Amino acid sequence: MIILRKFVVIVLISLFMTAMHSQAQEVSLPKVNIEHDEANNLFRMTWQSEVGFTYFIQHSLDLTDWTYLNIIEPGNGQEKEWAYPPPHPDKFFFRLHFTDRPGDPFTGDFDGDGLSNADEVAMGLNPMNVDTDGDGLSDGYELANALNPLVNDGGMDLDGDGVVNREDARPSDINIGRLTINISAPTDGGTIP
Amino acid sequence: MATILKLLSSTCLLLWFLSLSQGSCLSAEAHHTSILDSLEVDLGDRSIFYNRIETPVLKPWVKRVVAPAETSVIYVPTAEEVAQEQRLASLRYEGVDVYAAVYVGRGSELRMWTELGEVVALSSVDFRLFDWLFQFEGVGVYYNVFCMAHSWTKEELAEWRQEDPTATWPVDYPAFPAEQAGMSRFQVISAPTGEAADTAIEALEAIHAYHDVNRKSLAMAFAEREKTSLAYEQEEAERKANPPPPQDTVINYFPIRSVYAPQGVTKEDANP
Repeated sequence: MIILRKFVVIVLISLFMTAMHSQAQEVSLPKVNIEHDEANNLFRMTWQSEVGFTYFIQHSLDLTDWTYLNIIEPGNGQEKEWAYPPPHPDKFFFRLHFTDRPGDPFTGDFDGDGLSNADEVAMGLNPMNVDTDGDGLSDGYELANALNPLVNDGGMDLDGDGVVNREDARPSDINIGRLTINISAPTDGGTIP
Repeated sequence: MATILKLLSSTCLLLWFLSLSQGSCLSAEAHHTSILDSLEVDLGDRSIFYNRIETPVLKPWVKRVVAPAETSVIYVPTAEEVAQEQRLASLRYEGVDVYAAVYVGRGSELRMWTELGEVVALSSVDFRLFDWLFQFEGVGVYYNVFCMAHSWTKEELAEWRQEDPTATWPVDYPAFPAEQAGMSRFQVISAPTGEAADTAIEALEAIHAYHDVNRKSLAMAFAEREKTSLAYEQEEAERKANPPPPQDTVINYFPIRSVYAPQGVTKEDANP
């Protein structure tokens, strides 16, 4: 049975890598291995890192919702290895996410949302997506305004001022809502282009 | 090159799917040593806890090399199987699609679509016996039949009529041909003329002949399917009535060769 499980794993990896190769022939994808360590009852995940790349690991229970683990691996040309004791659910998935974006892997801000990559993965946010929950508000803005960057709350009204968060100049301040700009005719008699 | 690499910044590799035994779960508890950082993801009725834990002292592990014989098997067919395959290859092949409205205890109204039009027939056979896909051998022909059979009770028919008074089928309890001397019968109600329609009718004859020869085994297989289906429905109803309480999930992980692992830190690596 163990042999069969390993075989299935290997097939999944190789199929996915083949598909990715067909999209971009110039990039060599890291070969990821998953092996069961019977001696310690662990699953060991290894891959060969490359200089200039940064690697992240995501987890999912259903292949739909993915969460970043608090891991940032700068590529250094060496093999990387992480281990996972079997968790309680009977199924789980991990995937490797990598990028060649320049900047410090930890203190850098790959997606430019105002949060460092290290801060993002520590909170389970996507360090390569300015708006992890897709609600139209950047992760950095949400945190600065007491909103939840993991919840699609752009259409909600946190401060109850009648203006939804994504249109509210200060989503956590009931005294400030939608900002408007009134432009009137210039006093010097000029025209507005 | 750089552009392509940047496009790949969202590239991911699917890793694995594993089934684990209860024994494995219990031994996982042994790794709950020291949690270095934790993240809780709220799923509403339960949470997932992601814990980076201290790397424990690991026992030596020797990777087991899987012999090719364990991962691949070359199947060698027997002489009988080869002969059977050659015989089937010499037969004409026909694919047949049938939709059957089954009036339980009476018969089936059949619809088959050909390139020339629709063949409609009434049969004394309950076509639920052939539900889904099956293959059989007729005289000089090998049939691959895709049959969708739906049973209609009097109440369902009445409801259907109410929903769509203009529907022309299934019709209200047509006069089905009765079996004669233990032989099933069918009656073609309408069919276009042409070779395709003839082939469909020929297939109907073959299906009925097949039914008469295999009546007992078909009935047993159908009863088994019904039993399985009923058991599944009962299980689903039971699960809905008494859903298991939601449980939190704990995912532990630790580095072995990494910038995070004590032995993995080098001067070049930043301190996370």
